[in-house]
Amino acid sequence: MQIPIMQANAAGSVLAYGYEAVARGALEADVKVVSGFPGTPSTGALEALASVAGERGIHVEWATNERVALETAWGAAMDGQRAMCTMNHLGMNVVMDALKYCANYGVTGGMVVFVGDDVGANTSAIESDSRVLACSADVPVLTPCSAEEARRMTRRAFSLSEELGCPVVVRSVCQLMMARTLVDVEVPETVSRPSDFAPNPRRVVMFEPGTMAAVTIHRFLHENLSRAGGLLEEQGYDAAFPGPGSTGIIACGVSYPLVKAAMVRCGVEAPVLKLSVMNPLNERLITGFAASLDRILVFEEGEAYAEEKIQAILGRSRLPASVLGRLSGELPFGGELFVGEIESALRAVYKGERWKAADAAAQDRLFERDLTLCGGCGHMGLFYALRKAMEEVNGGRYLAFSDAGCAFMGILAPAKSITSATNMGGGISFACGAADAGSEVPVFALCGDGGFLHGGVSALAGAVFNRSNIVAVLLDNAALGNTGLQPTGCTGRNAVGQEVPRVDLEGLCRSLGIVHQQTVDPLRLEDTMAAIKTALKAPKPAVIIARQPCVLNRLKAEKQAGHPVRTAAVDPAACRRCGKCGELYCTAIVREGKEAVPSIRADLCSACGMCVELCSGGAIGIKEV
Amino acid sequence: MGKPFYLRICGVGGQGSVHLAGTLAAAAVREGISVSVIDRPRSAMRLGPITCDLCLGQEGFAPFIVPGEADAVLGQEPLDGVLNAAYYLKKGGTLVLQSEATPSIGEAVACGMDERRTAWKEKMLRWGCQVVEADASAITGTGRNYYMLGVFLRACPWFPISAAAVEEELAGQAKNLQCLREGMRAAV
Repeated sequence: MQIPIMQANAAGSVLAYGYEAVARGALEADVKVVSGFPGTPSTGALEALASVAGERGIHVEWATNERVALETAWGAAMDGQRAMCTMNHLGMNVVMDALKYCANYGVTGGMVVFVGDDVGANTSAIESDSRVLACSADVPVLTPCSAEEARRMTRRAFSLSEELGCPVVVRSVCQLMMARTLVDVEVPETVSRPSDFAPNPRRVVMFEPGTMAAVTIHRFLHENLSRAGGLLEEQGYDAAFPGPGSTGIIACGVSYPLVKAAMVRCGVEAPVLKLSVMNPLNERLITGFAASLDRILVFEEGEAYAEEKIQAILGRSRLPASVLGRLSGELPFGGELFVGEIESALRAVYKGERWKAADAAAQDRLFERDLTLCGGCGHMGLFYALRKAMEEVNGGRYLAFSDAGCAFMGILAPAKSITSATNMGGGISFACGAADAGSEVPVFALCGDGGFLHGGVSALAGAVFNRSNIVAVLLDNAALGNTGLQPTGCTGRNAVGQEVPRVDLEGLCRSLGIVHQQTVDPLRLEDTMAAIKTALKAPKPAVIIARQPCVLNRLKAEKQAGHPVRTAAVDPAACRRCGKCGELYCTAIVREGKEAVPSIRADLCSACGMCVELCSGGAIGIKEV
Repeated sequence: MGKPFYLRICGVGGQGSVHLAGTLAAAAVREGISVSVIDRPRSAMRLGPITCDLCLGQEGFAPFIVPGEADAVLGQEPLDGVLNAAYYLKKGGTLVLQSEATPSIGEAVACGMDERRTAWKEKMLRWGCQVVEADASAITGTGRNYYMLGVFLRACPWFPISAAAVEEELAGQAKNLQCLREGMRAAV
């Protein structure tokens, strides 16, 4: 797919997403290696770079997890090339070990870590703020206030990384990354950089025996950050704007344009300090801004990160201004900052009006539509088989833990097929813990192919040598479905569309020492139930590989191949109204009332055949649309 | 243009709301109207709720529409459309709804969707909103989103982007263009 902002070869303006602006900045900086793991709102940046990988000579890849992505980018940067890794806030938790090593050892080529925080947890199970983690790695952190600044900042971040010899983090949030606006573009750089994996003195000295090298390097990183502050000040990312009154505003990252809009709406005029550099904070600018103020209201997306640091800076400088924000209760913790909320805070602080809370109940109603699996998803078959098999074997009593991804949907009503869900690859070790603690009911671990390769493999290896009493079900749909169908090692295709060998899950499990494993098609419900019952009696840990391509990819492939569109359909005369088809909880199956004959929505049905298998009266068949 | 115009497009995953918003944003650029559009998907799966906010002629960057200030809501699913309108549509605003419901799985199991939909719609009418319903279910395959856009363009003649600019954006997308025109005809 062609993405206009990535195709532009001359200066101009192009309509683009924020994440595409980040990708454009990397392209303009002549990035050579890009590795990432998908997660909203960062996913599109790598996909945008993949769209021009061939013509621009960029190596672009989806890594098996975020740590691998960072290490890959780091290896390229140590070879003197410009490199970037991408992830969302959950991935930032995964990379911290590697990021700290990377910061300590240093880089030679420019290295940018782009992290998109899903503040507001729009598509994530957890809300967190990557600035806090990135700051703890002692590396510069930049947070753009606009898509245009995201492009310029990303481009500059590569050269800054080279000047400092450390990775630079560019962090943004959904409200900027998922928005499309006009973005200026410049002509990309083309600089030939020789491949040169030069020994880095910092890296060598780290392992000299008898030295305090690690401590010395830690001190150096802090000195380096001071140098970064000087270099970044020259860029003018942070700026103070004068205004009347003794209550000022500090707006960080994307909060800056939102605050400006809110100030216009409620007629507030005040001194404003725009901060886009989050590490190191510009102490000189902040103290100069605060010197004549009584109060400062801080707006930022995420934690009270800047608010705390600004309080500390003012304290050290013995400045009397009080700092208001989340910690003082002027703004709520958690969630995104919208213009309406900012306006309420401004009215409360500047005009003494009562805080007008957002109508949370009305907001919740907007999202009361249950998330569910696509009609004909293999996971739906597995969940059905698990529920039914365990009803027959153990009165419906079992524990099942999944990782993130589509398997996560098993936790939701009305089916409630699984007990709990956790981070990518975490379901297996979670289940091991429950089994090791002496669970009295069978314990299942559910893991997608993406999650298995992300971190599940090491958990399953541990389950083997610790003899954990679990049945691990690998839901191999050959895609990271939840984040938009990115390929995994099981897809047979990589980020730039090349055909590649698939990971042999059966062989991998055998090599780990799994004694009992069985591969099934989860759309065949009886077979899947039988496999579950067999696994319960087999030596543990046992593995079931439930293999069925993601239904969205299957439908796409069928369309491209010119296959006729098919759907299941009910013969009302033959329907016994037994309700068995409804036990699948498939969104394509609709009933007008509890006793009504079901109908099947052709536009939502994928002709998977599961309801055909379940129908007691043979009333459901498959037909062409 | 004078006053900004705020449009919320809402629906469920798989209905093409993001595509529609992108087309309108590109058409706005074509007509020299400042634009921002923000997507709010809940997941990549089909049937997850999704909204796209389109801000036309607005100075600065504030991509989400403030509750109660949307000039129009285009609901590609009736219940989601009404729920969004209840919170975001300004009094006297325009609500265009695709009438064919796509039940969520909980509603499908409970079989209780129609009652709620009717109750909300009546409330919208009491608020003085213009409610236009259209049935796009006759269109097989893709294109229902553009049919609904055609209905919307006729129902909301003060929308700042012209039908001609939208049609220009759809050059090379024969099915979508055809559906857009069918929607405009149906609205008449």
